[in-house]
Amino acid sequence: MPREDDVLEFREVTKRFDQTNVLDRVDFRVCAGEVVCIVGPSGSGKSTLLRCANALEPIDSGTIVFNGRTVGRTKRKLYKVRQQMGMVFQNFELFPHLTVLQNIVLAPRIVKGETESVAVGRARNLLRRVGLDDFGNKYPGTLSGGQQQRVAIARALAMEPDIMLFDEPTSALDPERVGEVLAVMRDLANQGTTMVVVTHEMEFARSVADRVVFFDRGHIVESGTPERIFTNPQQERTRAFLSHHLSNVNGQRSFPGQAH
Amino acid sequence: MAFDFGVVTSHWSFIAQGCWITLVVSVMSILIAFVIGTGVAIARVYAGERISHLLGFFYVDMMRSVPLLVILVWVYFALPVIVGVNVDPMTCAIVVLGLHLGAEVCEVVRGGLLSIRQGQMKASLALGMSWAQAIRAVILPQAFIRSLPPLASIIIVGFKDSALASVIAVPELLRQSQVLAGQTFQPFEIYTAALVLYGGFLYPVALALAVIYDRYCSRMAA
Ligand SMILES: Nc1ncnc2c1ncn2[C@@H]1O[C@H](COP(=O)(O)OP(=O)(O)O)[C@@H](O)[C@H]1O
Ligand SMILES: [Mg+2]
Repeated sequence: MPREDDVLEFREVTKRFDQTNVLDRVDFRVCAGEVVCIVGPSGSGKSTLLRCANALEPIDSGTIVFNGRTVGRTKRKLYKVRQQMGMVFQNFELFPHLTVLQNIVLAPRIVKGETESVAVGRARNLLRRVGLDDFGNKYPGTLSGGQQQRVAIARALAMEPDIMLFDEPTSALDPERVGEVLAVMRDLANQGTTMVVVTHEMEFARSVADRVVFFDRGHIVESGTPERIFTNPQQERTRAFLSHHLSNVNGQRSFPGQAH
Repeated sequence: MAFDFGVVTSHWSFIAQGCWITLVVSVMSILIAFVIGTGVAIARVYAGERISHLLGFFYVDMMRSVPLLVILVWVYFALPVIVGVNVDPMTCAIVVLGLHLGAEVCEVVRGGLLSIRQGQMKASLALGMSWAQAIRAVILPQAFIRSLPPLASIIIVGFKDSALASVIAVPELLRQSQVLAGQTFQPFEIYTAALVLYGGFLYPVALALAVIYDRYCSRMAA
């Protein structure tokens, strides 16, 4: 169950790309242990929201607070913030010249200065956790998309972040590979990981999220429990969006990560 | 016409000395080329447009628009007139060859850096790395692997261009051969030996570089 202390908070955050407000005075908060799913049409600013959260994009106004501290604008502080946030990308972005194991230990080794044995030990545990025990010496190019994304999750977890940000982690996958990645994420959620997940997997959002946020044109249109958003949305825009996507939830396609 | 290759064996140590100097000049200038070329490439890609243009104009374009031989002769014979300091021929050759080749390395590595997709830098930064760490551990290695074929030919060119140092009397293989040919009046035997020595050394080097490329290439293949 979510506790009340905030891990991440956006206060009136605005982000502009060429005069248009991609984020328009967004207020958004995530508590420790909470799983928030963000849904919404493409181009609405969901990726930008995540990239602003870990300062990969500078914001134009407003405040972002992480672990009780304002995310500063000095470089050193930004590195510190990013070390404590894990990010998983749609296209995995594994490092193709490194083995799976080297991918996972790289940042702990050079950023945190961990010893080889500590970093490798944790990496092996993480590989077991994502179901890829035997893949440590393989190169990413030889793995399926689903396997690569699970490695990417392990790589982010290796920094022991306080929050995990997922940007459409299953959108680039073959349909039959989606389930294995969602299963890993579901497992993380069950273990109390604080997560923000941008996704089009409505069944995942319905069954795993503590809160679902509907995002459109730079605004949070509506936010609430999955129950409320999916069965009783208050806003017309939410209803319109969900009527296109909810077929995923109500039967036609079962959640592939569940037992069939 | 009778050829007598005994002249080569009887002057073997003189020729071997030339081989050694050729090796030193080549390896040193190639090293300089890679260090400077890579540094300038990183600056051109990551230090902003102004710096990129300045380096492009004052270093890369200038080096590439004048023949190496002309730069070498100019630096050795003309530059001392202005600065009043004589440099020894070997140092001069190493530096000039290195800087000249560095311009080629720069453009190849720059292309390699630019070919790595943005997401790799984003992913590195998202893991808490600094720009410098990301470039060193993630971007640059991939850029090198991707550029291995053109870098391999640059290395080969580096070995071959060392022969130009003969014009400023660096006692490398070609220069030693010229001296011997003049003394012995047997240019055919001497220059044939030089030809075989260059080829016999560089052909295996080229093969080895190709093998290295195949190894890395198969690893990174998607
Ligand atoms: N680097 C950028 N430069 C200019 N415009 C951008 C950039 N990144 C995103 N945008 C624009 O911002 C809007 C929101 O993009 P994004 O956050 O990727 O949306 P989503 O993830 O919801 O699909 C889009 O209109 C997109 O074109
Ligand atoms: Mg997006």
